[in-house]
Amino acid sequence: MRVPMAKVELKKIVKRYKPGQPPAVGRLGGVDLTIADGEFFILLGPSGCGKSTLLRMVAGLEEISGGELSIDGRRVNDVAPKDRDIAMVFQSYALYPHMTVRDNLAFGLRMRGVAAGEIARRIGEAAKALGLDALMERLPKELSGGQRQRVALGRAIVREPKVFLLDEPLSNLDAKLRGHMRVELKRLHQRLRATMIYVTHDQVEAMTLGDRVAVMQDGEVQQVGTPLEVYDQPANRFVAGFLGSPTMNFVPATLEGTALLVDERPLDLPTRLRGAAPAREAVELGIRPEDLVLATDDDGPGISGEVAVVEPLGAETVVTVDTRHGPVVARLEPGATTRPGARVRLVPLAERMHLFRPGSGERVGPPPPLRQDAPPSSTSAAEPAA
Amino acid sequence: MTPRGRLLFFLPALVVLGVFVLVPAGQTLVGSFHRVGPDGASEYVGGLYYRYAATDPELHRAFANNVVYFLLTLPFEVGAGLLLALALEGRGRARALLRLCFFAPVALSMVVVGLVFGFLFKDGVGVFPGLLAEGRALLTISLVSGWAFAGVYMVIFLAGLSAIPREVEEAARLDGAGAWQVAWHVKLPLLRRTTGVALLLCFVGAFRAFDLFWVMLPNQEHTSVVATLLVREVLQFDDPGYGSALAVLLSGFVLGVLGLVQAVRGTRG
Repeated sequence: MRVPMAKVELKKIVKRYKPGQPPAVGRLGGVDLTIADGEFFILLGPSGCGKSTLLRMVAGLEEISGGELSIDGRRVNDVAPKDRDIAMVFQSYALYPHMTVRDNLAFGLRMRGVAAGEIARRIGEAAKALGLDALMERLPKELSGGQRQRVALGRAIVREPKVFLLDEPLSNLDAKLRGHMRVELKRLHQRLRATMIYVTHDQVEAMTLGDRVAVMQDGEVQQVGTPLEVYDQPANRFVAGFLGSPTMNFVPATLEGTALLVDERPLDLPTRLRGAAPAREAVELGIRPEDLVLATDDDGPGISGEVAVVEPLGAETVVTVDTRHGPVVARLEPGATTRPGARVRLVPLAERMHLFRPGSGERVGPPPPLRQDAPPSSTSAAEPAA
Repeated sequence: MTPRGRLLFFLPALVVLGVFVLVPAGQTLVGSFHRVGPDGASEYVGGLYYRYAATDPELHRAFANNVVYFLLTLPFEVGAGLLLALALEGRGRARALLRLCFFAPVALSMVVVGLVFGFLFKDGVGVFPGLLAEGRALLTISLVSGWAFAGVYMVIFLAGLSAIPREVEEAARLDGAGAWQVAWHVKLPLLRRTTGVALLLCFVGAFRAFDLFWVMLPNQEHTSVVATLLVREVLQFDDPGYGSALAVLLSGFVLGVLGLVQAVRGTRG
């Protein structure tokens, strides 16, 4: 199965719900994104951030109030959805309830006047790839959630579109099936090498599936980057707090020359953060749970408190410590020996510290280096060296 | 709810149903087996009126008119209502206004509608004379009925359309279907139940048709339907017995067809 590829470009895309409304008040306030040929691109954000609206605008189901959208170099702002050469998988699957699986798959091809033989060939291929062979004569109501999901994917695949749009396609599945379908989707993308735009609020999906991720909030793109970039080098406090589970800890601190004061005790600053502030400045220290080291004495630098909860998860132990700044969570080695009630000190790894300006949430100083070189993305790994 | 509570709950409705439906219906049934003489005395005549009905050419003509009227009102009421719903569903001020316009005739009394159109078509004074002549009257009245009732079916179909998930329609559009193809391949099949209800309503409406025929065709014996024939029997020919028999036959026919439809539906699951 060969799918044509296409670059999708969004330039200053604006969505207003009332004419004359300033863009900032509308849902989307000028989104710039370039999605490369064959890229698996994720739009990630909390509900109401405008990610689905943006996807629907690419699909042509939602009018574009301003800016320019082009697919494969062609401006498509005013092109009807059916003429954009895209296929969409909906969160609700949106299968035709009165048609069998076979007819669901064939409908889009029949509407486009594809020859019967070709329709049969494409449906056969898709059914085989998605394991739908035994279900072809069933109605959607006779299928399980996972099967419906596969039919919805199949309906998009047989179209062989330039761009796949996926709107939270896994969110109606149970956790186990979701994990399974995530792998299937990744495989599918590696095989088709099609451009895919995928909307989700689930950071695990974003991290595992995406070549690149755009993190959105309140109708604005906060950061675009590879999953590891947005995880390790978040542009601001929102991105830092949105990605990661358990989430990043935030603790008030004071930046003073070469030291960072937490609880009035100085922590060493890495070189990159020395002199980030000209004089004394109040900041927020952001530190991921895996970047905290547990010390059992209570009289050194770090964040001190009392262990509240210990969760041994096998591969790691998650410890929640009540501090004067609220609970701070640390991910420790599986054998970590501590128990509720113990007085402890959590020492941040200097190299992994993030500083944010209180209020605005913007980053102070340069970000830490990437934890490791990002593994080659699925696309580039599958592509022959040109 | 206790059994007594349930009884109390339904009692008011049962009383109303009994007083206004069951008792008159029973009286009609009994009346259809009796002849009332000029002196007001009632005499049992058995199935006399029913045997007469079986051979009454006027009744057969009237019944045939009901059937034709049903077949004509199908496109004029149900078909037009469906088209209006498809054209006017969705948001927008213009659409809302048009929906209101097409629904407005429903608020009018059929007697008023009949009088107005009857005057328009009246020979000599009307703007469109001759439309109520024998041979044309049935079609004309069907059209007037379509004008008056298409709005009802529009609302029924709008309700049905609003139950179709928007994403299914959007998926069809992305799949390459144009507006008519979406309507034909997606919306219509998903409106099957709604269409079934609309057809039944249209059927019942066509066989209890009375007011438009009575008002638009005064003193004209041609183009009767069963209900106008029945009333004429009672009022003009002073024959409540035959009128009652016709009422029983008409109700029996309509209820029988409804029961048959239900049974067929039931066996299909």
